[in-house]
Amino acid sequence: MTPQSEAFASDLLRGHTDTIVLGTLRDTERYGFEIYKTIRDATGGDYEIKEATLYATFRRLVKDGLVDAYWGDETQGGRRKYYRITDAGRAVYTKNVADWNATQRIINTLLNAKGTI
Amino acid sequence: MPTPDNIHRYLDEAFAEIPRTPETADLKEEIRGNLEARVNELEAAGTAPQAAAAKAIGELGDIHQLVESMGEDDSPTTPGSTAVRLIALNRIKPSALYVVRTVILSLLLAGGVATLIAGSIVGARGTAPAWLADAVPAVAVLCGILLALITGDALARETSQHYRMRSRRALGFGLAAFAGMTGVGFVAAWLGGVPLWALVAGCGLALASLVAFVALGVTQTNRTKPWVKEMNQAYEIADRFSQDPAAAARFGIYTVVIWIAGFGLFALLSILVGFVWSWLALLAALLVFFLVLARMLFAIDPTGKK
Repeated sequence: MTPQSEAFASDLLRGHTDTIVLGTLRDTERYGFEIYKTIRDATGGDYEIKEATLYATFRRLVKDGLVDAYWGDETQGGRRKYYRITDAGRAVYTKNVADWNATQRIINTLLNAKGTI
Repeated sequence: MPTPDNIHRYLDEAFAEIPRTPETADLKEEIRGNLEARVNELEAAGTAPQAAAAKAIGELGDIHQLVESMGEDDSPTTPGSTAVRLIALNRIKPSALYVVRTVILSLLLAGGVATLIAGSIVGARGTAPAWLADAVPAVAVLCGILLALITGDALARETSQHYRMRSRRALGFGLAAFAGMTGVGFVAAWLGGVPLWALVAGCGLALASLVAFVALGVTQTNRTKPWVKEMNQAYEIADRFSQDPAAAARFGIYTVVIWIAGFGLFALLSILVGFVWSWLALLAALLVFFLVLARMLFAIDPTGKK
């Protein structure tokens, strides 16, 4: 991969950070580092989202009511802030995935279009 | 600049430039917790502590921009909105296991106490079978153990408003609760026909419980989290009467005037049209009183000044 195409892919991915984070929370509640690790491991290390970006995402999602945030009650070790997807978050996730699939189909078609003339 | 290798120092530096608000403090703690988790993971894989911290900080990326963007956010605050923000930021969700455990123990305790009461009442009437009277002291001990477990478990747990109590202190409170519950249970057993030893043991335990509670109570230090105090202070400031004594005095005079007028009108109407309608004067006085209270205690001008 050339550096340029990598940069483009990152830009494209960054636009979907909210949806990606919502996706990691579909099945279980997680704290920040867990979410980071889930994303890192899911791509096999190809794409590393910056943690700093994630914090901004968490704040936005909480503000929009798509996830709930609360501190865990661990009695030992460091304190952890957990995130849990809300029903509103699930709805947005489903819609975003559907939108992406439709867009992807159209882009794939357009990229292969040769015309009939 | 060399790569920082201490996460706490790194965070202090990154957050040094912006004003300390509940939001920034919360973000700082969250990042700290996540960095610690990453450092622990790296150290478990065999990385040296300093190298692990440096790597974790490197992976974090540039938080300065994020931190600076938070510093700009200074939306106007009222005590109410501050409270909402503080509560949302500091919420701690108890683990499901703890909640389930406490509910089950509480149900068992309620059953035990009901058995105690029923056993001693039936025993006092002399209609109880012998085994029931014998079982009451055992139920008392069981209730004591249950209450001790619930008490100790709850105190040793961090909540949204309070820090957790140290395990030994929580154990102390648990034991005191055990002595109190069992003592009362033994006295109930004595009332239900169990011999004198139950009364003696019951009073002894109750006394021990009292002494223990007093001792623990007077040596108890603050467990309340700073944000709760901050919120309470915000509310104290919002109370107009303690802020503006003149308003409080004015309100006192209004109150006297309203009620003198109310009772005078009540007396007049009672004579003229009878009790069927005269009570409306008191109702009217009450309405005016509350309207004045609302108007005076919560000034329309949010700064509280005219």
